[in-house]
Amino acid sequence: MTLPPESRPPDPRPPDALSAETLPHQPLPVEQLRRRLRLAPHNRQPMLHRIFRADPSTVRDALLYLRERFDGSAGTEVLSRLELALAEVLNNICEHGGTPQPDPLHRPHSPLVHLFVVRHVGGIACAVTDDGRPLPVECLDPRNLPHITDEAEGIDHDILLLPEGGFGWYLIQDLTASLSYFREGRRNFLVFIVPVDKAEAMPGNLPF
Amino acid sequence: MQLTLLAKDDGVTIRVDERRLDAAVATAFKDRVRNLVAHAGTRVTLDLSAVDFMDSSGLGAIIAIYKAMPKGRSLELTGLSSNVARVFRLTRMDTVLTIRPQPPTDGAQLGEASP
Repeated sequence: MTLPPESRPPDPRPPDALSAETLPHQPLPVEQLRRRLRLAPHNRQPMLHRIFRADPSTVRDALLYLRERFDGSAGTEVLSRLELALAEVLNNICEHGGTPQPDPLHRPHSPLVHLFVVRHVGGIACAVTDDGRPLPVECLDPRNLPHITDEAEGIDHDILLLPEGGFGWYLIQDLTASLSYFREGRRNFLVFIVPVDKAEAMPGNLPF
Repeated sequence: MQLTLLAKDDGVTIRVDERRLDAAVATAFKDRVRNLVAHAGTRVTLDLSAVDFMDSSGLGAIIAIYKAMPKGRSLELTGLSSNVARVFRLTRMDTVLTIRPQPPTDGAQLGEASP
């Protein structure tokens, strides 16, 4: 994973400096030291701000970083729901946000995403902004699953009618609360909370 | 995209050796598995036990594989982690696809399928 320079933790000393003479105990592997530096300090809440061009690989990197950064800040179930909700939001930006720009080289324009995530009372608050195409407002309408017929169980002849897409916004709406959207200037702003209930809060963290 | 093909008496198990089945690999995954299925026996099992994250593009790829199964061949899923099972459950696709709880331990390894 490549981190942008501003979020890269300071390098620990080179491995050869971590000898038995300078460190009487078994030295931690460098990657483990780096990971420890990325975690929020004791009794602080983690937050994340990351800027990237929307692309499936940068989305994957951002989500891996998120997982590491928020590790231990809430139950694994909550963090998994957070990761899935953000994956769906960011995938949508990759897939639908881009526009072919009328620049001389006709290069496609990948939206520039700003991702903010912060642990908050009652949940994990997320804000995703991008300079891609406006989000169609109907995406936020309450929705059902894409059509799986009621007799879906046991039907063979309708397999070809199964939807292969259209699950994203359903999942986002299911996994989040207080979902809201606005467009300001040339940017989309999508904000939501992934709720954390009492049982899922970690000891030493915010109430819930 | 790393897959491993394992032989069984009546078919094959395709083991997905990827930790993430997301938009970055969904299309390659779909194409590779569909290719393998074309040469498989009657029963194809997709072993997802190595996968600890799947989003709706991974789900869409699995549905596309299911829809493209040649006539007379079945597709079963196994080894779902809680993250993967959640996506099937929330989208109710667990009611459509055949999901078995445990990956089979039998079968001889046929060989590595390289990316």
